[in-house]
Amino acid sequence: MSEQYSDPDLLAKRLDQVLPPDSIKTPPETPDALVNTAASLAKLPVSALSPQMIARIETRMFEAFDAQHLPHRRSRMVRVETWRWMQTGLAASAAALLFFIVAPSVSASLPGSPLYPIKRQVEQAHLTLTQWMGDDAARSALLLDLAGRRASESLTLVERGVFDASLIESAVASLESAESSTASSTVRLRIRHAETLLVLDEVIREASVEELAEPGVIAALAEALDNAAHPVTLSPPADSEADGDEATEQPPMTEDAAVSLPESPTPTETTTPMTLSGTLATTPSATSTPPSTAAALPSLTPTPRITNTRRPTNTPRSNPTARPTNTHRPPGDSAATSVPPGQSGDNPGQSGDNPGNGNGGGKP
Amino acid sequence: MQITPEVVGALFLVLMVAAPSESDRGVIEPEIAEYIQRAQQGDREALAVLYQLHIHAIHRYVAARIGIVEDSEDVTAEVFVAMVKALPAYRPTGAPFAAWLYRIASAQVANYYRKHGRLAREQDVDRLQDPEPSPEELFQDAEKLEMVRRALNRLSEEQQIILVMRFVERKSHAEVASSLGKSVAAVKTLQHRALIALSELLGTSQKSRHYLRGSRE
Repeated sequence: MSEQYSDPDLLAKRLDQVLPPDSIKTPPETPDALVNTAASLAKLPVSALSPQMIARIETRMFEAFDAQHLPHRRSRMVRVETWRWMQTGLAASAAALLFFIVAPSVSASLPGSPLYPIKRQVEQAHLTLTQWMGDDAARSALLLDLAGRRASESLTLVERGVFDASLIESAVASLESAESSTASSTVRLRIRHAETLLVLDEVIREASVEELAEPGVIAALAEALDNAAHPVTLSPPADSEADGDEATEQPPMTEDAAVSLPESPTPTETTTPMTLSGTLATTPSATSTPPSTAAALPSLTPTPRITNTRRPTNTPRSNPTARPTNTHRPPGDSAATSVPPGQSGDNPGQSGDNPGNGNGGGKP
Repeated sequence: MQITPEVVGALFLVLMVAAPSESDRGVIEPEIAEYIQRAQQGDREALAVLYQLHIHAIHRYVAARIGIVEDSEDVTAEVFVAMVKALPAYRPTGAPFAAWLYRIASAQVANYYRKHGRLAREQDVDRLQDPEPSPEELFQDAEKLEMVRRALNRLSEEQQIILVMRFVERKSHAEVASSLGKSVAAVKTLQHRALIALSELLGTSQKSRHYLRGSRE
């Protein structure tokens, strides 16, 4: 070993001179043993790989790679697919659960509830969608439905001692929008229209009685309600024209007649003219005769709002002012206590002479 | 001491020399790490890139240690098959990927010699650098090269790798340092020790010469 290269740095420098990097030249024999040893390494024959050999080695490598990874890859793909399905299922289940839990709460929510704005937003979205689809009948039906909801909400609130004028206004607006549609002239929609008016009338009356709002506000709402009722009265359907004609022949309603109605013990000046205007005009005797309800329903002109005819079709809410029926009428009031046609004393089927119920006069 | 431009320049020069350069540390290593990660996840293209980056260097190393062309190609293929099998368990330790691959190659060469027993195999003389050697020269050179190869194979794995990279692949100290994740100074020291050991085995020390003849791996 040469002593002159005891330092690695000196040897490195010498080697860089004799065997420079990236060079193929080999130095001749030198007196330095370490340099000669390095030069002998540089003379080792090293064959270059041919492109074919490179490709063959690569093929062998990929065979091993595929054998190692393909099963894992397949199982991983299966796992990924399974996980995706699970995610979809979980999302659907969560959505369904949310829908079945939240939806009833939302639909039953009242003003003041945290869910109520959601309810109104959903309704508005539904209305917009219906309008966008251009279906007048569906839009009209939906508007009536919304008006009915507002009326029900306001009635519930009033029963709790809370009066919300905006609900009435919203209901009236919906009713007017629905009436602007031609489809609102169908019988079914007109019934719904009339029912909503009845409920709203009831709300206003309750609010007036309980003094839940300023008289001015109530008067304004009643006027708006009256205006909303007019289009229906002005455009009766063809099948009720006969009734309408008959109604026009009736004497105009008077305040006396309105006051005489027992179901409104405390009629106000703002409510009674509006609510009674059509009633007495069309069915002057309907206040005491339930059958007249059935007669009036098909034509259901403006009438159903007030008289006894509204009771069968009215919402089943308890209304002490409207509930009293004929049975509550004073005995001396012949009009109020008039017997229905089918139950008159002249009816042989119901008389004491009825063979089936009598004392066996007709019986063999 | 007054700070003059000359002093600043000298300090800058000292810092530049002392600090390892980007090439020393290997700027490509982060990219290789990404390819390794992708290959571990089953990406064939990433594996192909790793193969193309290392096939020639690994083959030169294997060919330097195994004189037979066909065997060196076969062992090179075994190195990359072993790489594929070991790749899922590979975890970056800070050392370059090439160093890991060289260790696999060294193990495969050792495995080759274990399988083939004696190293006294006929040398592939077709690739000697002398274009027109005489038969006697061919024989002498072949015998000498075979002795060198045997001596090389008796060194430690680290010494073998450094000597092959430096004098077979003809890489610079900096390149070797970068490939093995070592400093240039460390490479120079290792090179120095390896050459001393090889020189002794090759007969500078007469007592070592007999040991190389006909010895088993």
